Amino acid sequence: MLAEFAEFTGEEWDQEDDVTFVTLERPANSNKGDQPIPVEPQQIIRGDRKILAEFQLPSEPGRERQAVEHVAIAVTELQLPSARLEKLKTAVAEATMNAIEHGNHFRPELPVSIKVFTSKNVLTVSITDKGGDQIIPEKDAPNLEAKLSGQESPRGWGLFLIKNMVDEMKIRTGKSHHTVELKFFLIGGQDASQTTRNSGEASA
Amino acid sequence: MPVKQLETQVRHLPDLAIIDLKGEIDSFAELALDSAYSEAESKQPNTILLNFTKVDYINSTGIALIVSLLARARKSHRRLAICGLSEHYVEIFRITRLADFMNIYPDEANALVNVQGSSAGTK
Repeated sequence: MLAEFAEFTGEEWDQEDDVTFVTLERPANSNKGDQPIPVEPQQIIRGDRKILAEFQLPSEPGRERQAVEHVAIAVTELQLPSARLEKLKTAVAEATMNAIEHGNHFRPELPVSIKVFTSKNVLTVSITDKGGDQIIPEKDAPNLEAKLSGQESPRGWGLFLIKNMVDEMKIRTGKSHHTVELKFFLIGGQDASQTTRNSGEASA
Repeated sequence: MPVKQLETQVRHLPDLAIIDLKGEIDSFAELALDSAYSEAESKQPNTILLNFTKVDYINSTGIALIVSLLARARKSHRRLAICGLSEHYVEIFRITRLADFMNIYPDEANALVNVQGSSAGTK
């Protein structure tokens, strides 16, 4: 908005009048019903992307189940094999849980934004929270023996599960948000996971 | 948002306790799962069988709960076995290596044949 304003006044001119910018943000939990808030009309084309769904959820425990249901409905037309669909659902659930817990710290007023789209035979689910420049440490595979002996917490499986469910995972961070992109190759997909990182403002 | 609470039922057989699980294994399941496990081990069975036939969702927190039950079972030298998992969750149990520490059977009948057969005369 400031950039647009600077363009309006021009480089050689000063804006003499006081200007007050007011931004309004609709909290995710303003939705009194139990449905995610759609952000954009579904089934639209943007460039080579086909948006299958776009919605927000409040950051409350258990909301990942709604994310899974909506993503599953959104990808119906792709007719994914059932094993593939189950992996997608698990990855979406875990990434949404991470966004709710680690990104938004269970603050219901902070939304988790989810976008489902296809592009060049790749299905992408992007899950964005307000976590900003948080760094998710790259962990090795959880040490089950250590967990069983009580040396480690029994928790800590989320990221590991995601990596094993997707063909590729990208993490993008910006000043005010953190996005995980889950990618599933629609042609030639394989179970092996690959993680790439890309810092900078999320473009999804 | 309505929460689906896990429902459990414990059946005691000779040297075996079966915990029938119905619903979702996630953070909301912790109390029900712990309580059912305590009831199952109250009669000191050799083996506790978790029946997942009516479980439609397990997340990473649920995996952690199962790890905790497995740790509890190993501490008391008890076997923990699993039946009724869908193919997807069998794969997750393999990926997480839980399958290395628990026998996984396709259904209860199969589990009974193997568990009761192998535990006969061991107590």
